[in-house]
Amino acid sequence: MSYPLWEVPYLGGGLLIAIVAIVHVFISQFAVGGGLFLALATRKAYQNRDTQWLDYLRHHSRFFVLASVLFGAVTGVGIWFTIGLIHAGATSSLIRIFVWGWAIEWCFFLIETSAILLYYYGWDRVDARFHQLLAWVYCGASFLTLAVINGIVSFMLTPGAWLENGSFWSGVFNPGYLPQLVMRTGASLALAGIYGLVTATWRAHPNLKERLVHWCSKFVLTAFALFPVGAIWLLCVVSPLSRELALGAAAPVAIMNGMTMILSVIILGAAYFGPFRRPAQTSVTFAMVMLALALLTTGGAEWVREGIRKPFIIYDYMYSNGVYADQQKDPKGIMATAVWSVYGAVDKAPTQVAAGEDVFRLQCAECHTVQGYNGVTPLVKGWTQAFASDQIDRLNMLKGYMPPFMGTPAERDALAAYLVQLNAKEAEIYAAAQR
Amino acid sequence: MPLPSAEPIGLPAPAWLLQALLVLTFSLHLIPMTLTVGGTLMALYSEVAARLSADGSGYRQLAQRLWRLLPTITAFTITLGVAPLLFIQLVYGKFFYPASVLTAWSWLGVVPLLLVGYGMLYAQSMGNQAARWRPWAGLAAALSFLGVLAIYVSTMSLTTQPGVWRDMYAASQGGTHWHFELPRALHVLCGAVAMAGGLAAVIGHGAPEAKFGRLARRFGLAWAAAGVILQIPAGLWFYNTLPSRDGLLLPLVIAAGGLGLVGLLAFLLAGVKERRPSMAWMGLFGLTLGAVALAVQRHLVRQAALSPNITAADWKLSPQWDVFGIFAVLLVLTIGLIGYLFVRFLRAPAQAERKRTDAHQMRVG
Ligand code: HEM
Repeated sequence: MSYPLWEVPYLGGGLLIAIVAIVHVFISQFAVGGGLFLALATRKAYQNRDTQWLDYLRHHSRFFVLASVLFGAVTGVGIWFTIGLIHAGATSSLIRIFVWGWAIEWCFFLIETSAILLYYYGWDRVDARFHQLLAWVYCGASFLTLAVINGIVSFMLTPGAWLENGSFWSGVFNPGYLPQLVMRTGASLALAGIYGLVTATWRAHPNLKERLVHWCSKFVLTAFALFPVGAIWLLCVVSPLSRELALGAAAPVAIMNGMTMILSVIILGAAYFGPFRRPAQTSVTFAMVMLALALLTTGGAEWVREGIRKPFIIYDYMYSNGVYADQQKDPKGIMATAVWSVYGAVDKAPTQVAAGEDVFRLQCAECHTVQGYNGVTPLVKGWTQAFASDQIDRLNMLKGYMPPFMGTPAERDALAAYLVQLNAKEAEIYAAAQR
Repeated sequence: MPLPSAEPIGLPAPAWLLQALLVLTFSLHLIPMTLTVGGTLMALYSEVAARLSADGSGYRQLAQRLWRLLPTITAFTITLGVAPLLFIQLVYGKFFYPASVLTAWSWLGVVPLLLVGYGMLYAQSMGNQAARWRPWAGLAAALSFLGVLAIYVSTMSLTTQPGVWRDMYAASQGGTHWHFELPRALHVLCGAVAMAGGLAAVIGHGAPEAKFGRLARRFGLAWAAAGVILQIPAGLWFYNTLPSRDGLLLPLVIAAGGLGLVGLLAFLLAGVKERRPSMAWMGLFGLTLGAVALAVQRHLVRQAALSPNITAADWKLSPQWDVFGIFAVLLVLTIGLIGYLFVRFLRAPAQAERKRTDAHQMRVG
């Protein structure tokens, strides 16, 4: 609770992160899988001296550059800006633990950016061998960025032995590292294949289309050998609470989980019966629909991954609202100890409700908006002051996926007063409208 | 002052090392960053001049050359910006996070502005050379980058002034604050203009075509001179707004100014009439060194402003030398590999380039 909370109206910080992250993951996984696609396709084209393939690749590489160095890199900066703004405390911890990991990833990032730009500008300029080398360098470097960042992202869900020994290596190679790497590699290959389908059905020469579409479908099918293995493996290594959340304890997460699986099966079937069996009939519309389904799947999978981490931002170490898992209640209260409290104490606030709003900001607003996404107003409809105080006291026990309340009784009552009046206002408006 | 308490996890390397990496990587960011901003302004100017002047071919060619280079330069602005962002969060996180949250909406605005600006550069370099939308796309790119520059000035300057945070946060928790400082922005902008001038001069001195070469050399010299000379009042104004001016500051400012003037002198010696690429490169190198001196000076100013609020606990150490060692070795390998790829690329026969200039000369001739 060292850092100020940024109030994001209606969306809330969590949804803002989700939006940016889903877009970024969708693009960057494609950029990783697309590396292998590009390298293999380039080799094939040059080996067979196939000018149609080369022509196709020239077009494909233009989209690819835009996707990787423009959208991939900039949305990557975006996700980083966003988590720093929403979860400054967690970002700060992660950077202190993993800065050299990020620095290592940055080296691969520099290599991958240079290689793909030189590849793109190298058409008609560099010889076939060097051109292939550039594609392979890109492929290797971009996979390595994934391999590093996967260590940090998987750490947040399953920090494992790091909790005891604080070692960088335990953190990176945490219990979730391999399962998530398998999942992400699978997703990357699938996205590369689907994206290839789009450019193949859109731009490729008619003589080439059939071969190309068939070739792309193999990427998608291979990916589906990996993805479910990773997902099931991951479910085996997460905490029991996370597993429960994924499998039914929290309805939205479980529904999303189910939806992701169904969508994956649909994509698999579509790839098999469409592009693999009947490549000639595959249309650009079909490919676009597959791409849209893939976006939904990526979104769903990211959602589940975030959802099953609740109530933590770093599992068993820090709650989503920046409170440390082992933090003791301070008898002075959160308003006195949180640096960014507006009033500093309940009795210094102009009213009890104003104090409650301050407590809400410090304890709850990281995940709840007032009116919008995960809005607290409908959640406390019908609550009385006494009932609210009682619920707040047992926040973490009532619902396993909320952190404990860290405030004093006076702060609890102020928060209760604030929550209760949220609907009182609505009730008044409603009553006024009835009149 | 609402200062975040010390982080329980220690720094993974001594603060001096992290600060050195911060200044080093920021200097690396600064070079393509000034070229991105200045280069986009210059390309836009040339694009418009080509349309307005009777014989616009020289300007048109300069604009084309710049538009072709800018996506790559901007790619490096972004990739090289990532590292200082990492280190600033590590060493000065206590100051950086609150400042960024207070200015959250504008800070986040960097992302869409980058997408627009950088996207427009790709549109320029990939799109049809004669299209009517070109000046407008150029304008959008220039405005986006100026916007990014203004946002960085706003958030980074707030980072060094924790004294004003409490009132700001009490007034609004919505991340809508703005802390722009004009002298600071002008100081960066003059640098950008000078660097773009240097780039044009280098292009001009390397160009085989006589007429275009002369135009680029003259034009580059004019921009470099304007940037360096305007930097004198702008820099002095900025210097006067600084809270503390002791120690190395004045010598560094003088050194930076001196290096800028040396760079300018090199462009003058390189002259407009003849092609003297090595002299032009020297000029650009001088300007770059001047910019690096300013980056160091900027760091000293920040350290002076913040040190009263930094405690021993903030910079507590739990070193990870093994991982740092891997990074250090990898960084050397990375630089080697990228260098190798670029050199091999530049040595490639450049058939496309030749084909293009031949076609152009046929059209012109
Ligand atoms: C075209 C895009 C960009 C422009 C025009 C730009 C401009 C600037 C400017 C003007 C400053 C100095 C601000 C001041 O202190 O007054 C700056 C600093 C900085 N920039 Fe960039 N920037 C760009 C992209 C980026 C990106 C993408 C990142 C990171 C992902 C980045 C990271 C940084 C950092 C960390 C600093 C501060 C370093 C320090 O204070 O030591 N920049 N940038």
